[in-house]
Amino acid sequence: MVELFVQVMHPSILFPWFLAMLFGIFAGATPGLTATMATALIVPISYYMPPLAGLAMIIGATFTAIFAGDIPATFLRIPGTPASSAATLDGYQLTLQGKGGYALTLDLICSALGGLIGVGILIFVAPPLAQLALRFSSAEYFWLGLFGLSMSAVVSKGNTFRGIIAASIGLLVSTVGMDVTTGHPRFTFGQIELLSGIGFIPAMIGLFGLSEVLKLVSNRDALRQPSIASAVKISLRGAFPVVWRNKLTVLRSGGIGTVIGALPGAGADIAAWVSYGIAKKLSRNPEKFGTGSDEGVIAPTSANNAGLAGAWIPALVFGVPGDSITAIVVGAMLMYGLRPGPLIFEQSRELVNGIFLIAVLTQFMLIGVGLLGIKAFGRILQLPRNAVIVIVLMFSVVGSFALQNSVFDIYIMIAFGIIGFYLEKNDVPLPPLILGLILGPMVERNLRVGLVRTQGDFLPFLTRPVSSVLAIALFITLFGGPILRLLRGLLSRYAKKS
Amino acid sequence: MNDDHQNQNEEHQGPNHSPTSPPETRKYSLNFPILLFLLGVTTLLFASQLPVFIQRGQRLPGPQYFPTMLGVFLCIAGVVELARYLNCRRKRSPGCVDQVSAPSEKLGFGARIERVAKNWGNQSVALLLVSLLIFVLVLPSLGFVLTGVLFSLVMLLRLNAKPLPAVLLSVVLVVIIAFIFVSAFRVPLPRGILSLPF
Repeated sequence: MVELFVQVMHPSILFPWFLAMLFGIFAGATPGLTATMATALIVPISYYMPPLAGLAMIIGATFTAIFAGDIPATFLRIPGTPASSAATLDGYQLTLQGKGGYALTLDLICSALGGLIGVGILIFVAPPLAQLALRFSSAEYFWLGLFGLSMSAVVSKGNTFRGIIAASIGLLVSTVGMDVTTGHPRFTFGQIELLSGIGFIPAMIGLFGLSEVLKLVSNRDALRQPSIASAVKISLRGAFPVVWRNKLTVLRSGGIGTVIGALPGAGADIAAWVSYGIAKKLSRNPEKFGTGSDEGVIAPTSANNAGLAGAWIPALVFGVPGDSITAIVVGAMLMYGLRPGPLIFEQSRELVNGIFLIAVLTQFMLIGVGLLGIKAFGRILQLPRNAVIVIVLMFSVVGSFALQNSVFDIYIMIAFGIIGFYLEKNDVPLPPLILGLILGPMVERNLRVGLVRTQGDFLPFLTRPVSSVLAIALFITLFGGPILRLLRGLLSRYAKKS
Repeated sequence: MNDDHQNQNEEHQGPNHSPTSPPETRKYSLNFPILLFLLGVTTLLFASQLPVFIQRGQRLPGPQYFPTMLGVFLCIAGVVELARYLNCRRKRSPGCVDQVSAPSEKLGFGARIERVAKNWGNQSVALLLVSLLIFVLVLPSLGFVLTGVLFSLVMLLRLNAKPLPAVLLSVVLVVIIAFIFVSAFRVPLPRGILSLPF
């Protein structure tokens, strides 16, 4: 353990890790840049580093960005990232009362504690789960992949059906290139660049970077929105006693956040909202929620960072990402030559321990970097939106190009930017699409390999114990809501008649 | 974390709003179901040209199997979305937001196209994409520094930046990016005919 600690504290890891956390503050605190986008922009850079340094950068940037999203949420009622939407409620009310700095200090401590709770659960739950996953066959992995996709579609805000459409488009995109089993080229149209498939990095930068820029550019009012600069007073000494008084809320929200984050498709934003709702229901003073209550700040901010840690559980154990950030993480790990899944706990045990250690240390570093971020906030928000747009555009272009020194990848990025922009305009959520792109090969390979083994018979996919549980879970996920609504309608009609 | 709908969150979730019940509006447009259906049909057409996989005389799932399943689903999804769109137009429900016209309006095809083209946001998006494409097209010949500075300058000026800060930011940004990628990560960015340092 000491050796590992010395290894992760080596300047070759510590320096990029720290820089990535600073970038996370910038990306998270700047409305329009999200934690997912920060991860997407960091991956091409991290490609040129050893895997542990690259993962340290990603872990550092994402945890910091999720916290930093709360900064503009608290001061401006503009969430820096979607995970900070719930933080706009009481944090902003405290700002209106002149206690913005206090709210953010509370937020920072709870974010670090929530992250610690999440990482703690990850460390204890992931290895035994991996042992179980070792017994999985093609059938289980097929259902697990589909279950992950369906969850991402169901929990996407808006319309479940459109979430499924997005996942299908992602799956379709994943079929471009050489066939996973026979090696036959599919949908390549004679382009050599497409033989290895659609590049995950340019597609992701386009979907989350360029499409966001297009959204900003198309909104004249958003471009004119003024940024503010405000002097911020921070007092850790004043915030600690408040956190201690609300330790149960922190623990509960951290736990809830981790569990929700671990559900494939659910993420830190849903974790924050659910924790807020539960904290309000269980509070002795629910009427204070929404008016600047401490609990209203503590619950969502503990949960969103815990949710991020929770999302690592399915990503590491099954190779099925819990949200769009870990979807990128899984893609990045594959790029580093690592295969997330149960075997990683045996084949790369040291690396997994390194990830755990980095995730724990990130929570402590978050306090220092977060304080810096709060201080620097005024200056960061002074950046006009047009400058932010151009910065994102330039990084998107160079980030897409850098991976393979390929101009073709820039075109892929632009194409996916347009697709992402168009789909979002039509209320089609993007996370299922990127999940479909990443999980596509796994779902298709396991379906076809399983069917070849059974000579085309699908029945074994339904009769194996874990498979059947997953298939039922998938059915309930997709059709449970409509069936319940139908039953309720029938019951109410029956009640009216009688 | 879901990146989508951030704007919706910003718009809808005020301090007095219940966190568990955001108001539901659904966007519908005619082109979405049509494109979805066409994507499905195109997928089926191309998938049908892929070879079948036969092992020991038995036909098993081959390269065309998965894309065919997806193509069929996308066709069905297109039809379902079209039905939803027509239902939305028929009911003129306030919860249904047509992308182009209000539920009470009855615009012809030409008028709809004209409205889309005249929209300031759409024009900005089109300009950005055209500039971006030109940037990428001339990038190999003119090099990253020159095209990068020109592109960011054009974009900043279009987005209402003042000329001097726009020039400064463009130059500084391109130099920083070139330094990070070329010097720190040894990524050879295109140098172009001018053979500038990057």
